[in-house]
Amino acid sequence: MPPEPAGIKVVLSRRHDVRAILEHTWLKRRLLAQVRDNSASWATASDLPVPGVLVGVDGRLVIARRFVSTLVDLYGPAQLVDDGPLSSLPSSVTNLIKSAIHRAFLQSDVIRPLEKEASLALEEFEAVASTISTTWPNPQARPELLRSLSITGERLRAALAALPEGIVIP
Amino acid sequence: MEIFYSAVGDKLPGRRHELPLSGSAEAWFWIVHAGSRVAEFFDDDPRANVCLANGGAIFFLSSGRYGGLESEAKALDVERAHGGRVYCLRAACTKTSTVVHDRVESFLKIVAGLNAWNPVPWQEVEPPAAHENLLALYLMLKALEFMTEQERNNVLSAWSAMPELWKKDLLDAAEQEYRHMHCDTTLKLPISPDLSLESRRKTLEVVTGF
Repeated sequence: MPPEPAGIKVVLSRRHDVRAILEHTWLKRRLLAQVRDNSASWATASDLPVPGVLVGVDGRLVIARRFVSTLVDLYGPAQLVDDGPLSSLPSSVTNLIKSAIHRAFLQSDVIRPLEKEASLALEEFEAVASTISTTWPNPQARPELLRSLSITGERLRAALAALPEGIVIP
Repeated sequence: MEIFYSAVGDKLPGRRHELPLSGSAEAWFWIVHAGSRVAEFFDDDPRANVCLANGGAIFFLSSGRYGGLESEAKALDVERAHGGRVYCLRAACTKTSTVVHDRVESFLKIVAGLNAWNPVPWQEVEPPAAHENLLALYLMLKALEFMTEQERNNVLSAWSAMPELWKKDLLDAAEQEYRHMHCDTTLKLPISPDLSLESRRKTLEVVTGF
């Protein structure tokens, strides 16, 4: 994984575990590893049913889509205002603080480029994954399907790996 | 660093490393990446029980929390079953977890000086809890920089109206956390209780990293 972008301060949060689950547990350790290790045998077996790791892609993509669509809020520091001692201030004041710290976060422009790449990578992977059930019965088309899954899956993995590990402090 | 780098991340579950402990030829400090098989590890590797029976200890870490287990409750179950000689790292230890790396590295230096059966200071291996008061102060000061004058006045008025004890507790706790963060008990935060402009700016200059 690439190192944390220079100068970014983060507060670790359990809500960000899903990033590691998608990037490391699902894509790197399971999907990409199995596609890499089994491509040759899968491509030549004529009556092979769709492997379990590929059947499960749809469910993982639901989680990935939900995660990517909420990146700005998930990584934004405004949520910390309600969790700490500032929550004792009147709500009208904490709302002012949350709005201003969110502006500072957006102005730092840490997440937007990463969100854009994650979103594009996810769309690309979704497009390939959506053809699995129709392409798989044709063994001649499988090598290209597996190659595309590998390429787009790796792009998605890299995009997730590039995200910070926790809430970004501007 | 390499000692635990090779036990996490890309490597296969089941990797372990041994550090010898003085006082017994059969006592080691094991650093283990067992994937999700922490509970089964003692059946998978019979030498684990030999290690513990001779005053050794076993430290599970993983790229997930709780040494690879699902929850803190499960980690506590495993730890209690082995009388404090086993520990599951609560923090995730990935290649980019530099805060965790630093703590583990410091912890292993302590371990290197232990004898068999010595209590293991597991509390030293977890990263410090988030500095919530210092963070809250930082967020408020940073937010003030991004407000209109009217908004800023509203926030400062609200701060002024808060109980003196609440403000003192927050600022004192933030200063303690600032000292702890930099391992220097003499440090002072330049913030003034009335959040004067100059003190806000000086504080923002010195408070970095969480």
